[in-house]
Amino acid sequence: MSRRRGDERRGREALGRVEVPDERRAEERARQVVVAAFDEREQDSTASRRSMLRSAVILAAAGLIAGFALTPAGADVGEWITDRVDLGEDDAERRLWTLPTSGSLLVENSEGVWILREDGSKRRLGDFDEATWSPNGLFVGVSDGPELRAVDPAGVFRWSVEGGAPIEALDWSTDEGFRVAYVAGGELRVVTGDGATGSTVGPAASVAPAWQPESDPASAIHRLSYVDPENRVVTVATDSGRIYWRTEPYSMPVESIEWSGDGERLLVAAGDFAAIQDTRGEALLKGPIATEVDHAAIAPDGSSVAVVSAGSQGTELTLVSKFGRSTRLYSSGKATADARFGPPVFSPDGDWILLPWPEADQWLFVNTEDRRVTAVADVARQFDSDDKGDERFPEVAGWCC
Amino acid sequence: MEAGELRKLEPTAPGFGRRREAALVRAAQSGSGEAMEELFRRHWKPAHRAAYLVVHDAAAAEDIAQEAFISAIRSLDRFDRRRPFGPWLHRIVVNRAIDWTRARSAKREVSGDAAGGFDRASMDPDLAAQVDSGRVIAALAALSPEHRAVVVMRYVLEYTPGEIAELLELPRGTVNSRVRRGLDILAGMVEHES
Repeated sequence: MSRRRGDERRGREALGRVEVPDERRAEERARQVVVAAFDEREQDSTASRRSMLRSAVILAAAGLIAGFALTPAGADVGEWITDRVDLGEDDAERRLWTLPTSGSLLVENSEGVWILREDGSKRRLGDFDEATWSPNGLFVGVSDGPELRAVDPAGVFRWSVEGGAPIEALDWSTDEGFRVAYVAGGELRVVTGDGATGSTVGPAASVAPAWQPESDPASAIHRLSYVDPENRVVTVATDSGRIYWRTEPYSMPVESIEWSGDGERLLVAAGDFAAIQDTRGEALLKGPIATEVDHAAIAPDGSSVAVVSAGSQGTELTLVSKFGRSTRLYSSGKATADARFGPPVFSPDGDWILLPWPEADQWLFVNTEDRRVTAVADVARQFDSDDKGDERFPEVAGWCC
Repeated sequence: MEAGELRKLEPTAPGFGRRREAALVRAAQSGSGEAMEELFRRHWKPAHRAAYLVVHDAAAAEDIAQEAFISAIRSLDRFDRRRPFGPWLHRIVVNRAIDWTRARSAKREVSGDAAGGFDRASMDPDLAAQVDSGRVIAALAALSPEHRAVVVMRYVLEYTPGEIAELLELPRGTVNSRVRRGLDILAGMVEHES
């Protein structure tokens, strides 16, 4: 026992001898930041108290008009207030320290395009409209009005082309990364990955096109799927112009198309349903794989589809296998208009799904195997460069490699 | 810094004044900037030191301790005044320090960076004190961040193994074994020096 005590004393002394570099200046810097944060909180609290007071006055007035009784409409208001308070995960982290698995996120908000890395560090690439990863994450394709630019992840400019009209949607080819497809002025165009040459494929709807990953990149044919103005999904070889297949017009507007990483399955989200097609444009399952769909995303290996839809327990995130079997991964637990999730995004390894929850100002990372959830709060503020708290909730444009 | 000086910083040490601290938290919750500054003054050094001893990176330690305070400020309204402020803050600091170290380790595997696990650039070999710090840091670097966190909580923040188990949600036996392993490493370093 005495030896242990001696060890403890020596260990404590050794740790006490460690000098923390720049300790005093660090303390002063931190003091200033903490005091400023506290002052800001006080201002927010005061504003919030004033707002609550205003709300109370308004509600009191509403109560008077309604004869001090909650009518069915009044009951809805009461429910709405309760739900606003309870939205989101209680134990969410206030800052995103790490992503739960490897890769980097491309994030878009009104300030432009950002890269968020695995270690939580982030960089604003610039005041761009939309963005797409190159296949290995070496570059980012960004649009700025009618201009398509390629920049590296540090934001260094590489090349640009003029689209002639505002660019509405874009996708960087998934094989060797030599082509970028984009929609501008109602036309689908393809530019080579050095910005040197370009061509027009044909008229297209304002839906992001999707390059079909090739099983053999050496013999790449550069198949590209897109939505034409008649609301049909078309797959074309962009170099030769040969059309491989074309579906019948969908009954509801196609909102997104997405190939699985192996190029074997194409997810089509149209209106409130989602369907999967094979490499010939045939439906893999009879009918839609899910209905009442808000958003859908296909797993990188094509084995399942993440679906956000209205369910019995509020808005739900469900994993639907290629055989149609559904597993509920997460539920908002509230059937209100505010309990709505944004589009899910798979991690590159398919183990996690980033589930945005705009009204709760949270990102939820949901594990696809064991349903673990890691939540991050204050998401809008984390992409607010002037930290005024006026930034809107961002969108995730991709999670790459 | 002498070990005795460090001891004076401990928020859980006898005489620290838990009632006084509860009063400070109450005042801060009511909007008193002076109370917040007093809480900062009392808790910054141990929090900063704890973060540094886990992450071994001065800039990251400053960020982590700073963010922990800001996080605490943002959650101040929900804080239960009957509980001490220090453990709440330290838990945030230590967990974030572990997360940061894990993330950096993952990056290092990819980049092939063979740095020795601490910020060598921050060491000045001409200063004996810094060399001494470097030795302790190098010895700690042999431990995983989870082990380091337990050692730091035990011998810097002076929590009991039971308190550490509760704060880090670990089995008591795990805490004890990590403390023992940390002590072995530190004792080995001291014996090697002498």
